[in-house]
Amino acid sequence: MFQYYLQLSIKNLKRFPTLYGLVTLTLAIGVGVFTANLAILNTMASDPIPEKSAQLFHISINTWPVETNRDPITDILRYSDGMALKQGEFADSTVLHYRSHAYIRDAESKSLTRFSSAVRASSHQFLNMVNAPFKYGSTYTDDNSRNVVLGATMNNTLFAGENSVGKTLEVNGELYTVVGVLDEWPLRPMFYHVHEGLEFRGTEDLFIPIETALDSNLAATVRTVSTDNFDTMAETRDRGVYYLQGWVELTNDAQKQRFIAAMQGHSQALKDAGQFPNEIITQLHDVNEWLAHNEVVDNRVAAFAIATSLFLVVCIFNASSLLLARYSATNFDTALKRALGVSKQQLLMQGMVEGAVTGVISGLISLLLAYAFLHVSVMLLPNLEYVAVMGADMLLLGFLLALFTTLLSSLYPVVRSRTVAISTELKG
Amino acid sequence: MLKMNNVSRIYETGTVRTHALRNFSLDVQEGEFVAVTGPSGSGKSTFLNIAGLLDSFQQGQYTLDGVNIQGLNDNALSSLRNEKIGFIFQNYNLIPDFSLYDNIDMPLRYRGFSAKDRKYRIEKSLERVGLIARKDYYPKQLSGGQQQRVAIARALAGEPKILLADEPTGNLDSLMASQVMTLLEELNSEGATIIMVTHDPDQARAVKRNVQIIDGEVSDFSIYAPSQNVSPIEASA
Ligand SMILES: Nc1ncnc2c1ncn2[C@@H]1O[C@H](COP(=O)(O)OP(=O)(O)OP(=O)(O)O)[C@@H](O)[C@H]1O
Ligand SMILES: [Mg+2]
Repeated sequence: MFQYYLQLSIKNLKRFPTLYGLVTLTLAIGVGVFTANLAILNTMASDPIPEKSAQLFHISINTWPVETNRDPITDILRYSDGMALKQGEFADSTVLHYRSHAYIRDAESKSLTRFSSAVRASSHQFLNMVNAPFKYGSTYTDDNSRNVVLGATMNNTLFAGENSVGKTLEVNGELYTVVGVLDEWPLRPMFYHVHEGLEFRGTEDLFIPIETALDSNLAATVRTVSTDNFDTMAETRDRGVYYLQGWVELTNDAQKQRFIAAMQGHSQALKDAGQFPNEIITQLHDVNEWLAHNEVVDNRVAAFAIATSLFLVVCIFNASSLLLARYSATNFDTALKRALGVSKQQLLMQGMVEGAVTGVISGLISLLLAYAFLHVSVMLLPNLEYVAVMGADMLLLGFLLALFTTLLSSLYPVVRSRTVAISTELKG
Repeated sequence: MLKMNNVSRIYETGTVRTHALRNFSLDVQEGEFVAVTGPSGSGKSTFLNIAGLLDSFQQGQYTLDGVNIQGLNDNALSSLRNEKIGFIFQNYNLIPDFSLYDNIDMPLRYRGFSAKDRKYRIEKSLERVGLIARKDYYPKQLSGGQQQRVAIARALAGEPKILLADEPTGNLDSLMASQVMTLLEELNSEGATIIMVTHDPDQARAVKRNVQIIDGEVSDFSIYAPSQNVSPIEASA
């Protein structure tokens, strides 16, 4: 029976090509715009590390050494504060890291071309803490070593994607050994550093032990606020320079309380030593709290999502009125079928199969359009480049949404068509 | 086979109430050929539509092939219509963009017959009306009389208990009309029960039983003189 419904549906689609073209296009545009917007929103709002997001905490602490009425700087740390919290071993894993930049090349390569690379200098526990996916090798285990980890893209560039563990890299003229290579790691948002628009830029090309990075003077390319002058990165170890991200892994509430107590103890000690005249502020935000705190979801995008959903509703009404016209054009067929013993239920089934066929077509078109809209969004707002991505889940959602909205648009026209006055219609 | 008892059908349009049928009673036996005559607007089509379960009524009882149709839901009424009734309309009512084969196939599909069964029924009924050679033609490629024969084939293919025909020759010239009449008479002599609305006195005269409807009521009065080889006009009151 389903097969017959399908045959009739295709016949009807061919019988009203313009009308069905308009219906599918109307719904495809509505669903396409909506899905594209939802994809952006979904990327912005998704939990980047669901298996651990409640255990990883961003460290915020106020240690500003000069009395001030301005908003306290709590989200970036001084080296000395970070190290005090890390070395006190109040938690199993506390990490400090910052973003830098370097030119790198394969030291053994004949080519002298050096590639511009985003670098993250980090405590050695960092990559395992954030579940970085290794393809080859593993992380460096000593903050002073000259071992590094390469991101997938840079490994493709330098070593054609081969296992490069053991190879020598030249980073800003100094030599390092590759000990690990990451898989593709599209972390969106890149929760461990959500400032300066980095949250959707993608993970770094090169990961390097933090102490080595400081000694090699790999400059922080992120917001840096200081109370002292400094010439080299090594000097930031004991000066008032705020630039480090601090994260800690805490698996239960007791650990969390202990760590907060440690942060307060640290602040109090500074106060007692006369080095900290301001209000004590200590905060831990887990991953999702931290993303919310930093408004990673752009309110304008959220507002636009509401607008596109209203637009989708308008499209549904439009498609529905087109389909009303289509069904009143076939009142004769409906009446004849009724007269020949086709039940209302069968007519509903027939109508829904026809709706589903239309829905599949508009689903496919809507995915193409969604891609196009994402593309246009990126052209208009280049900032969206790393957010405007559509995963398999969004593709499926868009497709199902098109199917659903088409069925919804067909429902009223089909149900209404079934009430046609049989004898009047057949009098001809 | 078909039994109506005191059936009334009132149409209300605005303030006007039309008694299309009033206290209408009729009993049709299996194998009968009944011609329904009467002036225009007297309720013939209304009767046929109710008989064919296309229209509802306000009062009375109607039993079709032993089934009291009162209170049946749409599914039950539809399958009764599909299985027991074969409709033949004045204007044929074939689907223009379906071939003859597909036109006959349509009600069989909805009834859920197997492909083999459908093919057999379609070919048999097209053969019966003499149009098997044109099964892949479209309705507009046929004359009116041929189209009406296809419509009859469509009605026959479901092997209905009863054929209901509303002025089946109304759109046909006399030659084609007589071909269609001959076909219906043959079907009746093969055992089919037929109720046919007609305006043609000759046709009515040729049929075994005549029923006249005047102003929504069955009348035992006939405007047509019975011919000697036809039984007198019957009407059950
Ligand atoms: N859908 C309707 N709404 C209102 N009145 C109707 C409707 N259908 C029929 N009638 C009225 O009911 C009466 C009977 O109509 P019906 O069609 O049964 O007559 P008929 O005997 O078939 O006439 P004809 O020979 O012209 O076909 C008429 O007065 C008609 O106007
Ligand atoms: Mg009539």
